[in-house]
Amino acid sequence: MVPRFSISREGWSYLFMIAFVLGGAVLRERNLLVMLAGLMIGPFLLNWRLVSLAVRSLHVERRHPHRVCAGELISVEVVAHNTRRWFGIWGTTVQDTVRRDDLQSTETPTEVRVLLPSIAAGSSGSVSYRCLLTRRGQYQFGPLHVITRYPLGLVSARRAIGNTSNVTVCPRVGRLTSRWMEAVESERSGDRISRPRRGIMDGDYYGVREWRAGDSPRWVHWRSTAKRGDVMVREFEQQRNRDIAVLVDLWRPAKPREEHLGLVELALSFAATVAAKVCRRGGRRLTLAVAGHQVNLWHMNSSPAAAEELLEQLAFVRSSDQPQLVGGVEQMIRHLNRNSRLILVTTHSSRLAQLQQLGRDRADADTAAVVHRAIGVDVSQPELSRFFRLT
Amino acid sequence: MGSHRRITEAVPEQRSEVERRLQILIRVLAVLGTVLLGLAHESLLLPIVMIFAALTSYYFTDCWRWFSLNRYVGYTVMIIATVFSLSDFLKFDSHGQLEAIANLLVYVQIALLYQTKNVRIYEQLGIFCLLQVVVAALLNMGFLFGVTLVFYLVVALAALALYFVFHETQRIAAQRGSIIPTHERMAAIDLPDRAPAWKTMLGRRPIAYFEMSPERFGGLGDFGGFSRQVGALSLATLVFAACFYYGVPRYGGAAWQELTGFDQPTVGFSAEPTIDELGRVLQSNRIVMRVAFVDPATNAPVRPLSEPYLSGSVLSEYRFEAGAGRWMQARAMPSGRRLRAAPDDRFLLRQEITMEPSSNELLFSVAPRYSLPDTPSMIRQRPGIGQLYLPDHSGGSAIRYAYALGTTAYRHGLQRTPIVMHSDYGGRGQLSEGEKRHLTQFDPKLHRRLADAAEQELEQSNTPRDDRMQIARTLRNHFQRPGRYTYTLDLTMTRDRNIDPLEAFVADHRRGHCQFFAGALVLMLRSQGIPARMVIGYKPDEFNTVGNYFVVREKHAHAWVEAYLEPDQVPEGITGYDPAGGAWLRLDPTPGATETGEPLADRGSRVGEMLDYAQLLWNDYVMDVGRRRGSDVAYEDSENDEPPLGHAGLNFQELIRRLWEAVAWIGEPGTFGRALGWRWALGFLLLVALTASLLRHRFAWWPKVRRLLNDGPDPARDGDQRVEFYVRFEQLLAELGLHRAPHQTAREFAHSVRHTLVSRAGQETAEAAESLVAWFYDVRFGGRPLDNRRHQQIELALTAMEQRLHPPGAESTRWFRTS
Repeated sequence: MVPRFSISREGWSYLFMIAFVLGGAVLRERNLLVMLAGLMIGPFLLNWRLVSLAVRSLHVERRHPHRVCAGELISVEVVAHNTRRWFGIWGTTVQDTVRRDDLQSTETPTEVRVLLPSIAAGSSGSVSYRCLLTRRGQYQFGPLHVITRYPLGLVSARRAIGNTSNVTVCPRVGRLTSRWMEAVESERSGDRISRPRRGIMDGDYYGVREWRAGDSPRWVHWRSTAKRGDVMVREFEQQRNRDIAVLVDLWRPAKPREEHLGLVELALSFAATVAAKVCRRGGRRLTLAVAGHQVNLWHMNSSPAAAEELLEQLAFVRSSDQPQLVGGVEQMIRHLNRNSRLILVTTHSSRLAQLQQLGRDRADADTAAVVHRAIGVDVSQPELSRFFRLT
Repeated sequence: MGSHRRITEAVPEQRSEVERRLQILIRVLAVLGTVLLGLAHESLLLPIVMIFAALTSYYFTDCWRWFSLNRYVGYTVMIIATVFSLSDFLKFDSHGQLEAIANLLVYVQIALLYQTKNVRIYEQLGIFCLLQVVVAALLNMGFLFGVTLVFYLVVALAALALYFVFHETQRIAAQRGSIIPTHERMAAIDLPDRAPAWKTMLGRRPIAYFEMSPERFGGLGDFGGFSRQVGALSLATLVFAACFYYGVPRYGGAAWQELTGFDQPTVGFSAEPTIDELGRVLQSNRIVMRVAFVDPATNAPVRPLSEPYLSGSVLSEYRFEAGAGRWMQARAMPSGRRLRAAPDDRFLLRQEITMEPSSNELLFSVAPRYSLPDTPSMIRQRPGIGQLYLPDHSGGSAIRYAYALGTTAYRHGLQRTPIVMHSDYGGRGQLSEGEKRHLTQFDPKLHRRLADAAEQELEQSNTPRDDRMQIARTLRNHFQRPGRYTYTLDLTMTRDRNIDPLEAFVADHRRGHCQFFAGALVLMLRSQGIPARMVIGYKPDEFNTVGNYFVVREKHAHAWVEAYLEPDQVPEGITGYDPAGGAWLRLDPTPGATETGEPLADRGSRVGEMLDYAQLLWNDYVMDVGRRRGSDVAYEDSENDEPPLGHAGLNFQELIRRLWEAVAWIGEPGTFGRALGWRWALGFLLLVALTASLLRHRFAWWPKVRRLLNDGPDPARDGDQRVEFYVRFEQLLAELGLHRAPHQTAREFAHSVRHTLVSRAGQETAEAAESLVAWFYDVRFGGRPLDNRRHQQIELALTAMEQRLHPPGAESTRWFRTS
């Protein structure tokens, strides 16, 4: 890119002084003033030449993580390499721009200027700036602009470097409180007896232990029983884990206010937190359906990698005043089994019953109970803070 | 977007290295600017005051911060200084007005120096410094001004570059404060617990800010490289300025560098100086002209062995009025004629004279003088009188003149018999009767005792009355007899104002300067009927061996006598001898003087000679560029259509020749003392080698000295208790061969070893290292105490690093562990 030059405020003052001296030289016909004018014009022109040289000599790049959660502070490193062998550059400013990569967004891009105090000849210098991306979605960084007034600050040169990069901002991941865990656990305990345990094929063999009341006789490990003289049963690692299914209703009015948009993000953030929690523990299957502008459904075995991928996908889902609820429920039902725990998340209290009814209408015999036991979460209610916190 | 909150922690509160250097340089600049003014004023008072202010303000205001002028107090001081200077401004002429402005600039700068510095103050100081130079350029023309200007340029560029770095840092720091709107920051980061949860999602614009570390952004980094680049910039500026100076067209006639009301007064004396005027001139050290003698055949400089008589004004009429005597030129002066062409004489020398600006038409030269091919044709000589002058001299537009004439006054470096043929003065044959009457005017009543003294002298010496030369020399000897007369410039003796001063000089006090002696001798000669006149000129005794020329100062002004010899008394063997023509015999009655000039003594200091030669070159090749000097003015009317000179004196071949002479002179024995030249040269080379050696090893010792002098020990390096964990951290890495370089900050170090840590001990170790560095910054620069929890985290991180870097069984010395 061709550098653009401008004269700084100090430069204009300097030019005024040159004009004053030259005027004095001509009017008074003073040779020493001519000399003084030469001594002043020289640095000005050299400054112009050197800033041009400086911005052409700098190769600048940006380094940053490519995926973050909303509200996370990221560090963006700006690295500049000076290609000149004999020309060090001081006081270089690099301007970066951060904007949402969304055609519908009307947000003003954020500009940040960082200062590279010195870049020695033939070497590199780096500085970092912090960036807080508060909303979910895709953000574009760049283009970078190198600005320098070195060495005298009289003339400024600015060169655009077509260096753009993207950052995906996932929903914010919060913290599930102990109350939430208790709610989930207590429901599991109450269901413990009536709930049929998994068969041998449902989990991985873990070891043997002494028999306890309630253990199925089918689990008895007879060889060990024979050896020990006591009844021993086989134990399976995943026999207590349940599959988790989350259905998120991303409803918002046709003309949403900030509150509605905030609730949409909150619903997604809650769902993302639950999903992250499930994936972190592992050993379960996770089904997440988001009914918004369209239906998005993910069905996966829980793992940290899966959580990363899921969070990234959630960065792009969009809310709607007419979310595809029916489709979402139907697709969700298909992935439910008797062992599933269904969590219904909505942005408006009136839609929770509607959601549950839709589930009942479309559930079969096996899944009706699951729908019946579903946990409903209305993010617009202040009680949410009892189960979920963002900080 | 709501109110803005300044994040003050991002702005370094302490003086950074950049600012400290800037504060020093801006003071050096102010002092140099004042020195430039001091050179113009020929006064040391202002520079001394400025040096005092610079030193005290640096320590008391900037270093120790004991006191500083409030902004409004500063303005008040400036207003008072302005009023004070205004009273001076209204009193003086334009020269004085400029001096008043110069003083005001100094006062204002002093007021600014005592204020707490910020970008505005630095900017104002810079502007005033520049204005100071502009005023100095109007007041000054000397070579030292040029030399000081070069130093000034280097310092100014360095200060400007430092100001740029400082300003840039301040600008970015200020931006850091304004970029985070308060409510966004709260919504995104500091939301209270009781706020609705959805509000946490309100952040709209991305928030990006740059956090400056005072440790890193206060320094210059590679100061050596910075200095080198400023040096290169200065050099390039000088080259550009030279090209600009010589390349820029100049219009407007002969006025460039012409003396105006801004300049110093002209030098020399008037055409008819009074006794008091000459007395004042004799006490001045200002340079009037430079005179060089050159062999026209070889163009080689000639060094005369005796002091030359440079005649100027010829005074033949004496009047005593109102208690004061005054010599004047003849009322009926013949109009001037062109000089005679130089005779074909093997002793012909070329005298090259460069006169400083003078307020009258007089020109000076050694007699007899002849015209050379390049002698300005406008120069005229009054026939018979021999006075040289420039007819169109306006008297008010004094400019520097340069002209060349021929002379046959020297034989083998010595002035020959001091007799000049009347015809060589442009006269024809001999003096007319009228001229004789004029030159023998004598009032026996007014000068009775003077005439008696002459008569008595002649009688006592039995001088034959028909030998005019003998009479003249006897009377001259009357004044030179030891103990009889006293040469003095102190004219405060009491005298009767009814008595003619020359009568009183001879008959009463017998104290006076050369004009007394010459005047008295003229009258004595006239009392004996011998036509005589007084000549006033210069008799320099200061020969510059570098440039091979005489430096003629005002104090070299001198008066002597010319007595007329009839044709029959003129000795033969004089150049242009005319048996039918009269001649003029030079007589110098001042005690200690001889008409052939005293042998030149080695008087000037060598350094002074070099400086004066530099001043000459400065005048010729810098100051006179684009200006028509006297020679050009004289050529203007040339009947021979001599080519105009263009830029006067701008003959680069001549410049090279002169510089070569100066270089050759340095190598001559006796340059800095007899036979010491090579030792000086060797010493100089050793000095250069030593300086280069010091510069080469500068980085080895300078940082230590600087730390000891200014910064004190580095706690991070010296194991300050607060950052003990960081010391452990560095020691841990040191065992892996990872050492922090002196120029690296802790963060840069951690960044540089990241890849190594990841490859050797995994990602987690590298992250632990970064956490440790972040905590180190919190402690070292954030001043945050370590609580128990943070202690545990640090210990955990260090232990984890140790385990990963030194797994059990690995052989390594854990000497660094502290209890």
